[in-house]
Amino acid sequence: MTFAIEKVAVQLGEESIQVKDICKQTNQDYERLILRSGFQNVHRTKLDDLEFYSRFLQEHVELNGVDALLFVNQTMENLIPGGISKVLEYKQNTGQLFVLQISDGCSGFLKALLTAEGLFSSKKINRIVIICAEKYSKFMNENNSNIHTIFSDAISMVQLKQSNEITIVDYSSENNFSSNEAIQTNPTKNNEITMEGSRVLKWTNSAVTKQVEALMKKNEIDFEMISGAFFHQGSKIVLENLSENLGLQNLNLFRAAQYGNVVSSSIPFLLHDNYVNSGEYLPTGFSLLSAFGVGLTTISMILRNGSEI
Amino acid sequence: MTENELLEKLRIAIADPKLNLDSTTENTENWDSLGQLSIITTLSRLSAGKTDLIDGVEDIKSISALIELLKVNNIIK
Repeated sequence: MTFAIEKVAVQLGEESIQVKDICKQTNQDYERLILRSGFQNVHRTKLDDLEFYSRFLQEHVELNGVDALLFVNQTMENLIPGGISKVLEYKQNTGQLFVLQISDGCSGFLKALLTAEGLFSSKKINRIVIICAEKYSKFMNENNSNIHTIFSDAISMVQLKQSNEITIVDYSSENNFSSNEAIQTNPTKNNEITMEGSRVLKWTNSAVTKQVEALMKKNEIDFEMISGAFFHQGSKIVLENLSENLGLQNLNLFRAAQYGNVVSSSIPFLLHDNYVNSGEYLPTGFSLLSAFGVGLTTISMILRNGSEI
Repeated sequence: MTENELLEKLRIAIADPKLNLDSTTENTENWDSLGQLSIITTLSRLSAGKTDLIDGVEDIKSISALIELLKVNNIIK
């Protein structure tokens, strides 16, 4: 079953902060930091998460004609009736909508895309909206520069419809839950988020490289055949290592210097940028998508845009 | 790879020409969390990814402990 991308919209937190300024305040060496993280700006919203998400949906999401909405989020605190029920509380055209909340971090968009493909296969669903939303700033300790200079508050929407355009050729996912403390919130410290950067880097070097190589080999697709690469924007050093390991230096994997690590919205932001730059969300041919992080979980996927290549 | 070759690469990685067998995170200014990322990257590239499979390499806090770990895992002679 195939689909097309009809629309992508993205929104960063309204406050843009220069990482250089954070470094001045925290007495950090900006030049050393930027070589590793790569993020020149991060973004925060002063709105609470429900209001931030609801405003975005009001402005960018038209549910008339949409059959299903997949909401990727891990951090809303509304347990019952659940985040998606609150976010859509005042939205019209939700009466018959199939809604599903996916609790996932950096890999959430690709898992939602896979779920969307399954829903399209039911032949009862013709149009799906995927919303990815996180406000990590509410878990940040401003003294923890490892976090403060990396993550941004953001929300995104990707609207899909059944079509012959794009096919999921194959995917692979892997979990390493025994290392889940590498990125976590700490309930004993006001749910402050912490990340063991070197541990995550070591894991991505190994797990993501192996996963992508195996996926490509299984499908007999050479890296030279890849037209587009859409990787989770964890940090510059992570993507430089993957780029070198996979021989993808010509595809400029790290492209988020101006907006930071936006968690599950990473790939929607890249799709949006691609559209702004080239007039198409995905290039014709094969695209390689990979997302990894919180869990620790990684998922990689090959998409084909166009029926004959 | 020898100890000396490793040290030479790590000096470049953390921009500290004085890095030696006695260096630790305590006595080496650039060996902070950012320096650790560069060390992990350098080790990975020098070993063609083998060090990414070694438990605990990301927690190493001294050159002597690192060399011992790499010897046990047959990464350096």
